This record gives sequence, structure tokens and C-alpha cells, in this order.
Amino acid sequence: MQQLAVIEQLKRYIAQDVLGGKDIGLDETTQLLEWGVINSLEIVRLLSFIRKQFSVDIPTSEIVADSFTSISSIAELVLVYMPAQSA
Amino acid sequence: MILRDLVVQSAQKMSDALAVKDPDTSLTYGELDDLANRFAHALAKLGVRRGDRVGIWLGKSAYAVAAMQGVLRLCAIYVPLDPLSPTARIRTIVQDCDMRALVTTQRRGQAALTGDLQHVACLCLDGEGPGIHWDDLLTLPSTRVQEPALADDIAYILYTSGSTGKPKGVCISNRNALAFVEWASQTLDATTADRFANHAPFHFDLSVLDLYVAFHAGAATYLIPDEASYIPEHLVSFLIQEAITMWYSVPSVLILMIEQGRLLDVPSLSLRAILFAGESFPIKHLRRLYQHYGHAVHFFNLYGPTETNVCTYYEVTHLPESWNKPVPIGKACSGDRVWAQKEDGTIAQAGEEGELMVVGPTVMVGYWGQSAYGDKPYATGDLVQLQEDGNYVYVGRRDQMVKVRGHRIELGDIEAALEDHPAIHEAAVTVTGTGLEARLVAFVVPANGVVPSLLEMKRHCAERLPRYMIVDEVHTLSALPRMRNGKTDRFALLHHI
Repeated sequence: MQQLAVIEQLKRYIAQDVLGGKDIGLDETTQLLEWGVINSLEIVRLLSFIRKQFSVDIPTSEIVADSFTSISSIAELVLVYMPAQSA
Repeated sequence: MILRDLVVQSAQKMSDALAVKDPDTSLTYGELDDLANRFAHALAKLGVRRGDRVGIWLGKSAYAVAAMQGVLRLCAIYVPLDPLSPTARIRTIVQDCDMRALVTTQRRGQAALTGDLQHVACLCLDGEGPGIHWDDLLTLPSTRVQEPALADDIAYILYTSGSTGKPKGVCISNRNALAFVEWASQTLDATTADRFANHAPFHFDLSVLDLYVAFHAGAATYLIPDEASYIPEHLVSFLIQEAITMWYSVPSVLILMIEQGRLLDVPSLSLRAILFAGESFPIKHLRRLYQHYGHAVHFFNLYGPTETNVCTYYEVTHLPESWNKPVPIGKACSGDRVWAQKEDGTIAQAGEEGELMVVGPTVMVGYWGQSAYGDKPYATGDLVQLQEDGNYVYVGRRDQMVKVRGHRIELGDIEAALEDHPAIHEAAVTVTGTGLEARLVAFVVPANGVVPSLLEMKRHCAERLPRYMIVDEVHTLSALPRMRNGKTDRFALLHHI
């Protein structure tokens, strides 16, 4: 899967499920943690979305603040752990 | 005896025993003692003297614990700061308590100590250049620093949300902290063999137990990093791997571990005690946990605002099926005396409700910058009911303070931040849901018809408030509903969701 497609799906999830769908201005560089768009509880939900949507299990060792700063940093992480055949 | 002696004494008795561990670093009591002395020497070089305030603005780590101990050795006062707080909030606190020095990272120090705060010294644990850094720290002597200190000297200041938008500094003396620590050590029967988990961040008073009860017993404390603190699988595997014997957290975290971390599937745990505080534990979840572990593990509900630390406790020894409300907050502890005061000023009798009042050794010295609290009873703002058996049951709040996953929030604090936005004329904030489902919902009246987006509102809050106070939802109204006395009608607000 292309990085752009992953970014698009993450963006759609955050816009609809986290921000209630009525938002403009979210892009892949938006400071997700810094601006409180996602908090530590949202990370748990986001991980289960990633598991369902991309069949990717992010190891707990990667669950550090740096991985969740923006949609593009999450997308990078997803691509690293994506099974080879779908990458 | 004062607070810093706990580490010193354990270092003299068992220098090689593990004191504190984070994912990257383990410190024995001997190492923690040495490092605390080095921090004390470094801070003294930066001009820190007795009674000075020193901020600790670091992610949770064993080094942050050593820095706190270093401050205490100078008989100075440490101020643990929320690692996730925005710079503007940190600056407000640095100013409020007229901080002498800040222990932090170079990036954070440079961002926070600008303009009228340039005089505040910075001890940067990374980086290089002028000032004192980690490498310099290690060249300093580890000879013992022990400036004379008194039991009534302030040991640390914890900042909490204030109703007018300015955080309040709760000053805790050595005597205040030790009254609780000694009670807890005895009640838990803590020994050198215990292994404490530290879930709460250091600016949150729950962490006082994890650190100092462990140090009192010569036990080890295992720090859970901030970013892992809500990852259920991680928390459960941490419990197993570190063979934790004492767990203390807000109930939300335990519920998350049951629901999503398969805590109840673990065949055996080393746990001796599960302690919880900060919010009510929904009985449905507590019952599952208790049915599973109650035969082997002690369960304690601890209660107390930051201003009094833990002033009542309740040990859960049975949970009959007929019991369908949260467990009581219990009876007085830590040497305190508590009672419920009714509206007419008299003391509530069994079956009656009133505001919980506290006097005793754990009641704070006062708020920083305000007159000392003295021996006045502390009015908690919490309404309780006295049961026939002498236990108190939490009923609700008298004011606009709310708890979200154990974090204490003054709604006025968030409202003030929102009203600071040029496009917002007025704002009111309320909480919907409880426990893990709690959400901060804002209602705003735009100044000139243009409504900022939710993302914009979040960013605006994020520049002024700690993360846990950032609004989750924003609704626009043409005017806030009012009651006859002019106050915002918070119940009417809920109809607009």
C-alpha cells in the first residue's frame, strides 16, 4: 500500500471518529499530540483502528510519543510493520 | 526525620538494592544517593539555596527522581511539572512561585525561559554550551549534601487547576508528606521485598506513595513512562515482567487493563495490594477484579484532595451482590481527623450528608503566595454521607470542580482559556460521561458570528492548558442559558448536545 493511501485513511479516521467529522484544516503535519487532537486514550483506539484497517500490530516498544506526533509519523510506523505482500 | 532521609537511610542500610527503575535506567539506593548529591552540588553552583523553588520539567525517569532528591538535600523545594504541559502554562508556574532554577532539557529550557524569565537558571540534562549539563553533573563530587532542614519546611509544591484560569500551588511540608508515608507504609506492611509500580506522573499526588513508601521500606519502584500509561497490553505485561507487588492508580486505568489488557486472564500475579484513588471505581468493574483477586490481594480505596494528601481510606474486605454503588471512601487515616459539616454548620450524624472537613498532619502548609493555612480545617468541597458503620460515602461536588480520569479540573480554568480566543465572546464547559468515557464539552458564544473549528479550539487550548484539559467537543450557541441568579445553567447546557 502506498504511503499516500495510508495517510488518507488515517486522516479520514481522525477527522470523522476523533474530531466528529465536521472539521477542516487537518493535514498530515497537524500536531496531533501537541494540540490534544489525540490523547493517550485515543492512541488505544487508534491502534485498534490500525489493526483492523491495515492488519498491522504495532509493537508496544514503538508506542512512544514520537511515533504519534502527526499523521505522517503514524503512517511511517504503519508502513514499517505492514505485512510484505500488502506493502 | 524529614522526607529526604528516606533515601539516605535506605542507601546506608542497603546500598546495592534496587531503588528506582525506568525502561532505560536502573539506580540502586547507593547510586540514587550519589546522583542526588551530584544534583545538589550542581544546583548549589547555579545559586539554589534553602527554600528556593526548583522546577523539574522532564519526562518520567529515574534521573528525574534523583533530581527531586537533589533539591531536597539543599533544603530547597521541588516543583514537579507536567511533562505534557504547554510552555505557556509552565511559564505561568515558574512566575507564580518565582522559581530559582529549572531542571529540564535544552529545548524546553530555551522555549520556557525567555523574556522576563531569563534570570531563571537552567540545568539541562542534554545538550552542551554554557550552563551545567549531564556530563558536568557526573564530574561533580558525590559527597553528601545535607543542608539543615525542619519538619515544617516545604518539601514540594504540586500545581493544580485553579477556578480563575491560574494554577494554584499546593505547598506540602516534610511533616505533611511523612504523616501519609508512614501511615501507608504501616498499613501496607511494605518491606524491602516489595516492588511498587509508579503509574501516576510526578506532578500528581498519587506518585508520592509509589516513590516514598518504597524508599521508606527500602523497596524498589518501577516507573511507567507517560506515553505507555494508557496502553493496556503494555501495563499488564509490565505487571507480570516486573513482578509488581503494589499497584496504585486511578480506577480508569485498572478498568482499561481488565477490558482491553486481559488482566483477568493472567493465572497468577505477584500483587499484594491494589490501591485506587482519584475518582469513583464503578462497582461493576471493581466486582470483577475483586472476585478474581480478592482472596490474595488487599484492595484499598484511598481518598483525599492534593491539599490533604490521603486523609481517608477504605479496605474492601467483602463486596456483597446487593452492594450496587461505589465503595465508601472510608474513615480517617494518616493521623487526620475528618467530619461532615452540614449546611447549617453542625456535624452530620449517621445517615446525614455534609461537606467533608479535614484537620491533621497531612493538611497542606497553604497555597504558594497566600497566607499559611494554619490549623484551620480544610473544606474539601466534596459532599459525603456518613454511614451507620462510621464510613463516609462520596456523594458529589459543591462547586464546578470535576474529575476526568482522576485529573482534577476547574471548569473555570478551561472557560478562561477559551474566552481568551478573540473569536469567542463567552464559553461554558461541562463534562459528559464518566471514567474512560468522560468528555469535556465546550459551549461557545462567538464574538462576531465566526466560529473557530474544533481543531483550532484544541490548538488554542493546547497552548494554554495541560493535555487532560483540552476540550473534546465544541458546540456553538447564540447565548449561554442562565439561571435566575445570572449563573450559567449547566444542566440546560446538556440539552444542546
